[in-house]
Amino acid sequence: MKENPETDIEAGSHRISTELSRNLTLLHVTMMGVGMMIGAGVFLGVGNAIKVAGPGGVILTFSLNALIAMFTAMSYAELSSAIPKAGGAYNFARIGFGRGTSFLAGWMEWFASSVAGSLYAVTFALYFVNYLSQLGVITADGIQLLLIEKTVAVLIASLFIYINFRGVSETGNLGAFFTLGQTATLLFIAGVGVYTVITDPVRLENFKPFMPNGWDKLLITMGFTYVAFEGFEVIAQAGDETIDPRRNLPKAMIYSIFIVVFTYVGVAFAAIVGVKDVGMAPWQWIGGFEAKGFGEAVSQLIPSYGNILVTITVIFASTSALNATVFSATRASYALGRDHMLPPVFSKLHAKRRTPHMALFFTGTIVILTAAFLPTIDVASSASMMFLFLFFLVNLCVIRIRRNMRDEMNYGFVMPLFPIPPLCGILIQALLAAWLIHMSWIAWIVGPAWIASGIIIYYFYSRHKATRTEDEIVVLKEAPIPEKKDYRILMSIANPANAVSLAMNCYKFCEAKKDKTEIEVINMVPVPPQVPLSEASKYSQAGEEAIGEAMLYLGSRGKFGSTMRYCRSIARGIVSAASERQADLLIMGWHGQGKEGFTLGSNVDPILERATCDVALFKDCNQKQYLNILVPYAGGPNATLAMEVASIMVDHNSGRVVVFNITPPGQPTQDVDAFIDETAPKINTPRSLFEAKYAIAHQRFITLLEEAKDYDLVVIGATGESFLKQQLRRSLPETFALHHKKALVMVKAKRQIKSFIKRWI
Amino acid sequence: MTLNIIIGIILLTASLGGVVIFTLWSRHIIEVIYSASQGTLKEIQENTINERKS
Repeated sequence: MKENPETDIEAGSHRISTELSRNLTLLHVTMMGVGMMIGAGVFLGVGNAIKVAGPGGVILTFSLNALIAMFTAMSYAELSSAIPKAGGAYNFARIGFGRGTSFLAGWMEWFASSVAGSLYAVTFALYFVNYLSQLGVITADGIQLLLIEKTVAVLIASLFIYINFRGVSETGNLGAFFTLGQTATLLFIAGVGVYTVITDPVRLENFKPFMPNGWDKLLITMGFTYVAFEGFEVIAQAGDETIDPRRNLPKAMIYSIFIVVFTYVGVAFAAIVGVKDVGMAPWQWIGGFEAKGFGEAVSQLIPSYGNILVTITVIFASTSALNATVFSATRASYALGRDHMLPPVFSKLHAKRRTPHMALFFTGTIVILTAAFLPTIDVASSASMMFLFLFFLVNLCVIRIRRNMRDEMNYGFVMPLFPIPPLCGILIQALLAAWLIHMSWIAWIVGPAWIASGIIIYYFYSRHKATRTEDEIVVLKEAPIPEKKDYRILMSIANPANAVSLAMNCYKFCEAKKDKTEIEVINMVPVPPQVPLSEASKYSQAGEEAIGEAMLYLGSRGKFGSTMRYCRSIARGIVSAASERQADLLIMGWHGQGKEGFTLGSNVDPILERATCDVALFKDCNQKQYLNILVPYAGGPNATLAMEVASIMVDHNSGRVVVFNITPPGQPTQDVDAFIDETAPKINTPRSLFEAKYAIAHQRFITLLEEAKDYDLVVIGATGESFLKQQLRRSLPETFALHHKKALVMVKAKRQIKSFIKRWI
Repeated sequence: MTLNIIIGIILLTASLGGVVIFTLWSRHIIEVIYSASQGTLKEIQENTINERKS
């Protein structure tokens, strides 16, 4: 995670916005992802996976993992195309779930990248020391060899921590060149494997037995090698520097999976068929070398130079990945410090080098301790587990952001078959994480312990200190009602001109509900994305006037609270306030005009769809009392609320409410009288106030429009159809509301969401 | 050929085929959105529905 490169510089009275230059092409970012993935997983994974799952198991491990990783890659691709700026999962979680979850994402990312860095250092050490042993430079074995490997791992990790401290990083071109070289070398090895089988088909016998230890071992090896598919995060981090990011970031993520899966399957195939005449089953021979099994197998496949080829590839792959992960982990902890989620020491920059040296120190400590004291299997398992948790969270984010913010996002890619891919990703990643306990119980202590410590730090430190972000809804001024009574009305006002009429209608509800009711007036101040929230107060004048107007009316009639908030999206702000304030009813005005691409308006549509309370939209309702009110009735879910609102708006002495049903000819008529008989006692209103009226007509819309002309007010329930269906076929209530020229109230009753998961998502 | 190998080949083909299909499908979606200068989910969904209808 990099610090946000967009900064504002004060130059006299002018504010100059600066940002990183975009110079990374599709090739650069694809190779960044491929480089991170090839860093270690395949070199360590082949030997260990063959030992556990057998020759067939290792091939299936990589191919099935690629399909699962593709699900997560599509989630990353969709989110990166919509939010193409540095931050990756940390940003997605912040926008999707808020501060707490984003802290957890950053916290997990810090650890995952640090442990992945340890894994790359260990991989380097294993292959480098092994090569020196084969040359006869090192003659130690057993515990001495282990100590030498650990020392080399610590030294190489320390070297790259120092390089990061100096602020040196490879350029896009050089990084892409190295990764292309590694990939080409691995594909060459795969090609040699295929050629060997063509010339000597007996080598295919190496695949027997195909799954010697049973199919359940496949889940273990899939979880263990999942770290080999962790390159999306680094691509997402490059959002600020990529040319045409909405197009190139999603492509790079998808292409990187495509490239590595064929590389992995190819080299695993080559490793298996490369072994011959070793005196035991080839898979057992390769598995016996564990992490070094891949190198030994390639030495058999290409006896003359296979060993040096693999060693050089490992050196380049692991060091470039180590450099990138140390950088990424440091920036993750630095960003947490910068946002005050971790103590300020994490965000300190070195006076001379301008690098976050303290964040680097803590990151380096994790990298070195993990590399020095954890066995290789546990390092790989811990890294895989943390990435599984992180990707699990990203899959949740894509579902939540699509659900809650779809109208606000500008997508460059939307995944096919949504929400099946992220749901599959969530389920399978959870299963793989759980199954990792069979590979490393230490990973199952280290991983959850890290997450638990993060939760504790957040609750006792971060949530009190964290700074607000650009995407949060921020309270400007607040005078809320201290405790919730039986019935809370949230009145959203925007325009000073209609604030009084809205307040007047709102007060009718208070009178109807008597002293059990309270009102909270809310004004959302929309701030354009280009404007920093720190300057949002410039936009608050109209809202202050509107609240002032409402206060003139409501102030003399009792207590009420008021809140001004600024936000990026009015609809999301109002829905969020209604939920947070536990409102029972949301009242707001509507100008009565639709908008291109929306049914009733860009703010009204999402509010009607997502509000967690009853909603009443008022159009041109300026009278104190109404004598003739029409309630169209078609048996929908909002009819009861429409009758209740009509009973509140009508003059109880001389007014009447007509409940009107139109039935097409030949269809059974709905019993309006029975509905009134049933509903009137429920809403504590005399039955005599209501009249039933029936009509039989082909054209329901025109009949309703004609009938409505004779009434002062129409109270109509909104459609129960989804937003998308309304786009295809606009429903009767909404069409009527747009064409009716007199006073109108459109209501929508709240829908209970019983499922905990659905509420959270 | 044992049952394990047959199942293995089916799984291998399905997973690699899945990766290829999702890669090509995703690429198509990215290019369609890019060439039509669309952005919001609603525009993209409407366009997809119209495409299917036609």
